[in-house]
Amino acid sequence: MDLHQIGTLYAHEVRSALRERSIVVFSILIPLVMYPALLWVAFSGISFIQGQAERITTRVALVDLPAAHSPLADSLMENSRLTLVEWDESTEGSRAALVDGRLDALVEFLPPDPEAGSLPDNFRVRISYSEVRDRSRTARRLLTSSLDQYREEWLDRERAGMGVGATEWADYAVVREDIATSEENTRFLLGTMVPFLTLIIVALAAFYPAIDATAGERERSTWETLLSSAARRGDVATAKYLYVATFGTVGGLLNLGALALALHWIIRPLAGSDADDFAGGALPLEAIPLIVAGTALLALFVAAGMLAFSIFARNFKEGQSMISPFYMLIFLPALFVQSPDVEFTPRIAMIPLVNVAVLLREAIMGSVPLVPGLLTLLTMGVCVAVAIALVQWVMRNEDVLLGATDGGLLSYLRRRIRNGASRAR
Amino acid sequence: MIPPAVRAVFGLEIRSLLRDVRTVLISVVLPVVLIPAILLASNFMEERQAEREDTRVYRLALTGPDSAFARGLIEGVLRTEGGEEGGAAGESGRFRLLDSADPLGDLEAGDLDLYLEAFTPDAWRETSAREESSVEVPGEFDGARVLRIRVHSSRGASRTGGETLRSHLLEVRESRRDSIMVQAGLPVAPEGIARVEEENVASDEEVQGERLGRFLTLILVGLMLLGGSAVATDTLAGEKERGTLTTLLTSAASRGEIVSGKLLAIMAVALAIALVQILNLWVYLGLGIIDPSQGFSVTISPGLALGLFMVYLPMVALTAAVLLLTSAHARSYKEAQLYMTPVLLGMSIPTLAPLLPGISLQSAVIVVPIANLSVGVRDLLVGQAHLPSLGVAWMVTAIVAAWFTVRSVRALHDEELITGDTSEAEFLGGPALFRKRVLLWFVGFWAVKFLFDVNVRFEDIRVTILVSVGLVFLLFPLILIQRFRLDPAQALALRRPHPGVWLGVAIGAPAGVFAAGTVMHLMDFVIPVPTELLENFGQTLFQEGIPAWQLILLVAVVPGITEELTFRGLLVHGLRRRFGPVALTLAVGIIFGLFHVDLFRIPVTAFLGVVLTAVTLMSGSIFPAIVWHVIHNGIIAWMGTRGVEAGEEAGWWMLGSMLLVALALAVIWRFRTPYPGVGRPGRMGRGTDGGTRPPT
Amino acid sequence: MYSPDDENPNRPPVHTEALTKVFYDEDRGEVRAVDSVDISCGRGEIFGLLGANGAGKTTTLRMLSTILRPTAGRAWVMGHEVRAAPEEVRRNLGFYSASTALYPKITPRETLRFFARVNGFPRDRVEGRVEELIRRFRIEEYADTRVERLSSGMKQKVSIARTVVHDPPVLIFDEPTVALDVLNAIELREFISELRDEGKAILFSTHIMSEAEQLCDRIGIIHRGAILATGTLEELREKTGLHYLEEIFVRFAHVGAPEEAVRENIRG
Repeated sequence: MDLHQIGTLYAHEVRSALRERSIVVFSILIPLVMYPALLWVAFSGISFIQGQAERITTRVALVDLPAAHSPLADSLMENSRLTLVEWDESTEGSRAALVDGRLDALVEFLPPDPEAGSLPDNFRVRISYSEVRDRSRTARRLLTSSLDQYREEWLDRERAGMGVGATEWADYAVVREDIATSEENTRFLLGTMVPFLTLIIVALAAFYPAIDATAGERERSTWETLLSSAARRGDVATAKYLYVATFGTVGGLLNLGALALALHWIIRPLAGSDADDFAGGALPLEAIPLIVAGTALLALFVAAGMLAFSIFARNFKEGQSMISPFYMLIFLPALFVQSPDVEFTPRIAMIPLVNVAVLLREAIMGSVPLVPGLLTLLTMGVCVAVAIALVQWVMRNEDVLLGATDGGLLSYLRRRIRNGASRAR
Repeated sequence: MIPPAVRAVFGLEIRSLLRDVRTVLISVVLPVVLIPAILLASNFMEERQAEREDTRVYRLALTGPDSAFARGLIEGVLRTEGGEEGGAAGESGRFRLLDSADPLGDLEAGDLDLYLEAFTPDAWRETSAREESSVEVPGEFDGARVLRIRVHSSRGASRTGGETLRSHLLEVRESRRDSIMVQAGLPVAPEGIARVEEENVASDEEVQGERLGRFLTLILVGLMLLGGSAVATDTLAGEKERGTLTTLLTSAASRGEIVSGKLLAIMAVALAIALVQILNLWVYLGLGIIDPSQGFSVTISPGLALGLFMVYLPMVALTAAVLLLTSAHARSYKEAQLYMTPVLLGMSIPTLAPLLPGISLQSAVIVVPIANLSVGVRDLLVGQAHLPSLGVAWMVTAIVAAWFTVRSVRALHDEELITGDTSEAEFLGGPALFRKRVLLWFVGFWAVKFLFDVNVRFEDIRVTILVSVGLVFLLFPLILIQRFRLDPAQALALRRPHPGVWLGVAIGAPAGVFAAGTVMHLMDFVIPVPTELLENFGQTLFQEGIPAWQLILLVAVVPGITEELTFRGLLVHGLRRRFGPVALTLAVGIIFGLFHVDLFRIPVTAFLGVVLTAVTLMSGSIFPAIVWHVIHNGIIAWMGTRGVEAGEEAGWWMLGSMLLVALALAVIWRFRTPYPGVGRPGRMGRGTDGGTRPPT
Repeated sequence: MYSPDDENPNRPPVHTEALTKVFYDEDRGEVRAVDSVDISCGRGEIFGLLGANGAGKTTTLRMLSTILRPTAGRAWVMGHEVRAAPEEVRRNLGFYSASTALYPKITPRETLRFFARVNGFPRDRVEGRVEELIRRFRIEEYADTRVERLSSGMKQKVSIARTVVHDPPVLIFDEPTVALDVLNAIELREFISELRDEGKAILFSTHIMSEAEQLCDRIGIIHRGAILATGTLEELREKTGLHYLEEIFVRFAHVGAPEEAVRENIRG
């Protein structure tokens, strides 16, 4: 191994990658821009919908309102989103009107249930509406809350009339207080999102460099130029591997950084005006080395895996479809670590990929337990070593190196195993 | 009926796809397995989560001066929760009572999930004053006991425990109140007073249909895009790469026939993949392997299915046409892939239209392709389709699909696209490369600016503005000029305008303030602003008591200069070759708007951006735009300090201001000095003899 | 397929009038890739366009095959003008170049069938024609193997068969031998001669002097977009007093370039 040589090759790979549009876009721009852009779209969308919803006004008809309860009609009329309309159609006519949207809710005042009849002026209300129309749903919501409030006030009057004291009636207040600091909350949010996203983004950021380093090289017919140079094949492979891993790491970290910075925006609507407290300090400083290490470990594994698949590809398209299954394979464990309740036990620490995800979460939350942490490093280290060994073993075959084999990694392995078996016989 | 050439191209595409085993595996077989797998996995995770919640025992402590009272209540809670009485002492149901000498410490250390503190009214007053607690107790509880639940919300168990305890305490209170009332002599049970019944006139099926209708189009279009893009990327872009496009183009088939054949192929594949996926999910649902969370019992009759198919037809065509056009504009498979991502996102957005509250097909949405049919499909599923509107929506989407198809045909006439050589700019660097990269840089700049604005805040708001508007917008152009070795005078349009232009600026800038207000007014019809946002909009700055000259400097002069240098300077310079004058004006205006992150400011700032770009293009200089911008912002700042708002005046003011702006632009047009080199000065393209370029 | 216009003996199957193509280049402004080219090619004739890389050969032939649109001037193929009736032009034309590749996923038989149909060959005669070509080019053995698995020599045969599948009266070969080995190139040249004997009008571009010498009935020397001389080899020899085509070419390219053409190019 010639470090100087590897350095030259590595610098060459990185330099040409930075001039490749799709790599710049997927490995740098998307990790950086995704959160600001997504958040912006989400919040604009939400406030747009909110604005739309606020604008909905509804048509409501009251039927047989008892005279004693005319204040109820007054309070309904005060609500600018409810319009009371005159109504004298039959039951069928009303239903039809509710269906086709001429009316949004029909409020019928009926005699009270027999057991509740002893209270003077008591009544029962039936609200007819249509669940399939937004307006109608809105009307129902507005009406029930108005009626609930009316009943509360009524009850309060009754209480006063019967001489029950306000304090006795109030009984007790229940309040909730959170002792977690805003920083802890921020970390919690980050911790729930980061593991999943880091897996995906590291894979995405390594995806195009991996194809570029293998299939791309063949497509541009520079592969043989490179192999016929004085550089040793092992060095070429190492340089390419490091290059793919670098882009995975950088993409992952950029993404994490952008998320940490954009988090402020996620929290603002949740925390109201206190949001300013969240600025900065979302990531604990002492966790950063661990986060970098975790991301790098992940990238090292992903890079080796992707190269093992893409080395068989002769062009970009083939490379893409060869890596895709591996890429989706990375998604599956990501699904399982989304729950914040997965504990970082030694058992979890032995499952590759999942363990790094959980390690990242723990690092962000503040502390990593020693034994699972070490186990994670060990497990992933072994995985990376195995993956690298696989790549090197595959690259030793000249057919593969020259792109003369049919099919991808799996069919190659199958062939080798079959050949091995027949030779043994 | 179908020309033989179209049929031949169609057959070729389908055959090529089917023989590409790996692509078929990835785009058909894998999703068929994967989507249910993901659904199953997430179902499984959800169930496990729910199970964990059910069996979880929250560790709870009681404390406070009135803890005896709390204990009485809690015992009730424990009983309701446990479902059965008795059990080990102090432990029942989901809460386990622990004794704790230092509950706060234990909660922080994680030895407790939560604790409940009970205060007498006096004790609460004292405690809340001592702790400077931010918790507020509503006025109606003056003189009542206070129960405080303390949780550590970054721990799941603590949060859910807190919520459970709280809702139970409220329930207990409710029943205690009821019994107080009944004891005091209320003749009826409190829940019998003004009892509300609800009756839904829509059938269950209609409700399910509405739920399905909200997402059906999104799912379908998503599936079609994924399936169709597998063919689309390979078809035109891939053919350019493999060189078969030239072969095809020198055959007797017309461009139109080629495009039709390919379009039909993409449509067929997209539709087939979508149908396969839906059938697949249907089977899984039918077998009960996947258990949908919220009942899923829509029955779709053959008639309805046919109707849906007909309604979706132009949507399929549009999807395919957009994909094909994207592919036509890419030079290689890889480039096509790169373009697909934004196309997929962009196409999915209109399918979200049925989620908009109160949306109906009898509104402006009818002219938005895809969105209109999404709403139409929802109506159809609810059984309330308004057929004439649906017909119009169908036509609109079909016409847009046809338009995209025609564009694809035209793309096959575009010689630069066919011969597809990459530009030399890549290795020449410098100004030529700048034109290609300018948008990419602005995208990155947008993100950096966003993250910067969100995170960097100085004590003094003045410093914040100075940095975020002044420094950032100044640094960015400088970096670009340095990086691409641009000539500053050219790049920033530092030229002397015709003196007559100033007259236009003098008229237009003040009128523009009111015209912008008018735009805001008009936009409210399209993008309604939530009231909550309107109230605290832009008030902060004017309340800080900043001296007037500083305000003018910060709000008017600094942004006027720096923003103009960035947008009307560099951006216009970079994009001038890519668009004609009108498109350039709109593009720069919209990008300028997007930099003012707030959705509700975008239309107004984009309007200002459009006007300022027009001024720059007509005067050939950046200076009139700078002066206009400074005056504009200056007037707004001045009005802000007096509490006046533009846009509140109606009618003649609106019309008048618009006319004045138009007059101002006309004056500038009269004294115009056109901005050099705008638009494509002719068809670009390269003659190639074996890949070399024509000699000079 | 023949229009009445073709019966006019004065109108050869291919001829151009002041055919011109101007490209716009961002950095260099206008570039005249082809400048007022007048050429013609009769039935049973091979016309060779001889020029260096970048001289405008491909651009000229691409205009004739309607891939590119002429900026000015006109060109006819079997009486159809390239701008007015591009589809008719292509129906009467077979175009072969190093950049006209084959679809990788389909077999040679399917390829021929596809191009016959796309070129509007009578439906009932497609199968017969395909079989005939398969025999003629001796591709029976691999007629049902996918193109992507064929060697480059096999692909070339299929490609030529593809070019003539609809039996067009005009054939254009743009540097056809550029990527071929010696034996394949000889075979191709033989086939082109056969086509001439069948009465096709053939345009042929190359930068290889010996090839032009051997094959072409008439030669047009093209340099920097302009035709500097046309004629049979004998005529060119007489005009210059030189024997070898290579010398003739160099004489024209370096010395004999008309002033006008040079000026035009300097302006770009």
